[in-house]
Amino acid sequence: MLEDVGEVTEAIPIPNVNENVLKKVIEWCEHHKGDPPAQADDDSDSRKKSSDIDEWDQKFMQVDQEMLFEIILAANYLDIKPLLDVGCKTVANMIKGKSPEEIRKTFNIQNDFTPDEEEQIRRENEWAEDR
Amino acid sequence: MPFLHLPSELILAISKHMSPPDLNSLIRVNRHMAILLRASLIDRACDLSYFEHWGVKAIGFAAKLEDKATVRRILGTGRHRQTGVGRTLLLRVIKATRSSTAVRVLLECGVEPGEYDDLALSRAVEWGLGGAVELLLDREDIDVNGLMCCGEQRVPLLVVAVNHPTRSAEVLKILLNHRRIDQQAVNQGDWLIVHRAVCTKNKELLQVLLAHGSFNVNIQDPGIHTPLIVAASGGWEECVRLLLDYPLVNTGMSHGVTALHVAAMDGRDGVIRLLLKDGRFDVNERDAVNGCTPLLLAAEAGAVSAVRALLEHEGIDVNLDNYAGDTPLYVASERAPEIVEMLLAREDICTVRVERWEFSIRIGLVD
Repeated sequence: MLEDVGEVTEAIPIPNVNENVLKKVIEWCEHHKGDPPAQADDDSDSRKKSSDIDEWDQKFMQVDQEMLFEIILAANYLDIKPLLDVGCKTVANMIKGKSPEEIRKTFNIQNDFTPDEEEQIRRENEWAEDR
Repeated sequence: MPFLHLPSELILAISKHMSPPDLNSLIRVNRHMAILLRASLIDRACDLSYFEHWGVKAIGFAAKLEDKATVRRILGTGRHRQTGVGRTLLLRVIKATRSSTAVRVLLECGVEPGEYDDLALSRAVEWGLGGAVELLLDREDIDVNGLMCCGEQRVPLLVVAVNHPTRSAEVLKILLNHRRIDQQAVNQGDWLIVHRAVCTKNKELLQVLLAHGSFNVNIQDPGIHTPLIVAASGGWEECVRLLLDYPLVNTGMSHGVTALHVAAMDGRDGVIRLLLKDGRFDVNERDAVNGCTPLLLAAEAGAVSAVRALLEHEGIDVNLDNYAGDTPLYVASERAPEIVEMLLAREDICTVRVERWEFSIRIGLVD
């Protein structure tokens, strides 16, 4: 991002990230500044396991949903790929093993399907139902 | 900020870290999720790490519904070649779907021959999938006459077929009429096949076998009787009738006994009547083991109904003894008072065995 901007002396405004979130993001970057650069991504391999989040990151992500989604947005906006990954994995873990109804409860989502639609969408992907 | 307000690209990014069943649950949460994510479920199943389980399920499901576009899309990823699925795709899909339609659609979509396709054929036969059997038999690259895995045994394909409880006749018919099935190989397992048909009382299967004509219905293995004797022993009248109607059936002795001896010994009165009505059995024939007549064997076994069926027959000699000199009345006196009564009621019974006082006392001739 900084490369895009070039040589600067003035402050860079970050309009989409509020102070608390930015503090968290900086905290994460401080901790991970010594990490080796990410390997060239084989797309399918990097997402192999959603559970492989390191211990420090897991603790770091123990925040309320509001903050979690803000961090993901900020990581995306600031183009911090590893942090975005950790955030996405954390959300994926929250969904893991849950039924649609349990997911609705977790994220406070209304079921807006008609019974027919609900049945149709269930049938469409029946093969993915039993674990 | 709630979950639903995340931009679509970020929800998609999250979905890439989810397994197919988790993603499926998320798709079923509401309309927004369904519209956004339903198309990516197949992609997720085709991820390298999920393909072996979920990719196979997805392609099997699509094939069963004749959704060729999805089948082609999955095959187009080439994942089946990159993963352990390799050349076992047909076999896996047969296992997952047990559907002939799925097999047909996969073949039509150009699934290549695989090294385990003989196993696929064997499974299709075992599970009675007639349509799939026909398609796989036509593939010249499959050895249809070799031994097939069935449980822990390796047996000819025809023997695999008789395992299906309801569709064995249908599948066997397909096999027997197929040009690629070696007629010589048919004979290798025939005692097993005919016996299985008899032992499972599978009338349709037996009819197919008898109609085909190349089975030796009289075959016997050491320790195993002819199918007719097995059927007589079990009291399976339908099978006995079918076998008796078959011109080449052996009504003679096997291991020293005829079907009539066995039916008498096992108390199968229905079978006894069938055999005696047939005309090829001699009611007074002594077996080659101890010289026992059917009546003597029935009396010895205490089989009241069998004795009654035999006594109904004209020309029966109720006094014939065996090599040891025992008569039906003598052996009955040891255990079956009801049979003793039936025998004594006959005018032609001979009770004179002076050398056997013990016996005379038992039947009440001497106080």
